[in-house]
Amino acid sequence: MIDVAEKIGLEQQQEDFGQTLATWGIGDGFYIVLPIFGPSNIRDTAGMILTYVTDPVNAYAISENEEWILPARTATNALDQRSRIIDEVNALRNNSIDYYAAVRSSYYQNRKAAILNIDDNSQTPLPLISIEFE
Amino acid sequence: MKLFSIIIFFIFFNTQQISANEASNWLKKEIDIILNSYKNTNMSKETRFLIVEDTINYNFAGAGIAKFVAGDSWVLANKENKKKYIKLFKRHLALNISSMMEGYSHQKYQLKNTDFDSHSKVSLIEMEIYHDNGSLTVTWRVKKSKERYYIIDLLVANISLVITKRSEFNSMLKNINNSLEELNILLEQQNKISYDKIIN
Repeated sequence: MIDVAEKIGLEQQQEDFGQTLATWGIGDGFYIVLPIFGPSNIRDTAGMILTYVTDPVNAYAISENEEWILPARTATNALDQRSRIIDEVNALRNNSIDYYAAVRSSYYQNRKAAILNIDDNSQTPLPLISIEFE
Repeated sequence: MKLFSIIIFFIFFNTQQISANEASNWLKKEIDIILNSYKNTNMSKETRFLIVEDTINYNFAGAGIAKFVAGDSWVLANKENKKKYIKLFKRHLALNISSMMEGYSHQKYQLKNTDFDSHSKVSLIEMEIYHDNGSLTVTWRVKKSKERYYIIDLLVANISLVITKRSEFNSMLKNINNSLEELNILLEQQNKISYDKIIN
C-alpha cells in the first residue's frame, strides 16, 4: 500500500523462490514444459510451488476453503503474461525451424536476467557479429 | 590542466551523444518505413512484404548474423552452401522481423533512451511499445561501419533474437550432423511456410 523503499532508491524487483534457490547455488535441473505454466526447469518448478504455497492471497483462499481461486489466479496470470508478448510469441512460432529450442533458449535468457536482477536490455550479452562481413 | 580535462570530457561526452542521436534518428526513419507499409491498406501483401524485406536486408547485418548463428557448421561448409545459406537466412530474418513488426503496426511506439557503448562501439536504442495493458521495451543494437549503420541484434524482455536463433539453429544442426547443406533444405521449407502465412 505504501512503498517507502522507493523513496530511498530501492526499486521494486519481481522475485520468486526459483530465483532464491538459484542464488543459493542450486542448479537448473533439466528443462521441462508444464501445462498452463509453459517452460520451466526442476529448480524453478520447485520454486514455483513454494511461491504459490506462501502467497498470502492463496494461503487465505485455502484457509477459507476457497481453493478454486488458486487455478483461477494462475490461469489469469498466465494469460496476462502471454498477452504482453503475444506478437513475439506468434512471430517465433510461425518462423522457427525448431520452436522447442527457440522457446527453451528464450526461457533461459529471461530467467538468467531475472536471477541477476538485470532489468536493462543493455546488460544482455553482446553477440560477436562481424560487420566487415557485409 | 583542470580546465583542459573538463574540455576533453565535454568533447568526448558530446561526440558520444551525437553518435547515439544520429543512430536513433536513422533507426526511427527505417522503422517508420516498415510500420507505414503495414498501415497502407491499398498495398498488396506481397508488395508490402517485399518493401519490409528490402528494408530489413539493407539495415540488418544479415550475413554477419547468419555466420554467427551457424556456429561451427560455417567452417565445415563449402562456398556454395555458405552463399545459399546467407541468402536463405536473410529471408528467414526478414520473415521473423516482419511478422513481429506487423503486430507493432497497430500500436504506438516511442524511441526512448539511446546509449553509445564506446568499448564495443555499439549504440543501444530503446523503443517503448505501448499496449492496451502496459508497455514493452524493445532494444535495438546498432553498429556503424563504412559510414553507415547496421542492426546487429534485437532484444525483447532481455531476450536476444540473435542468441535465440543461434540456439535454435545449433539444436537443428546437431540432428543433421552440422551439415549446412541439409540446413538449407530445412530453411527453404520453413521460409516457404512462413511466407505463405504472411501473404495469406
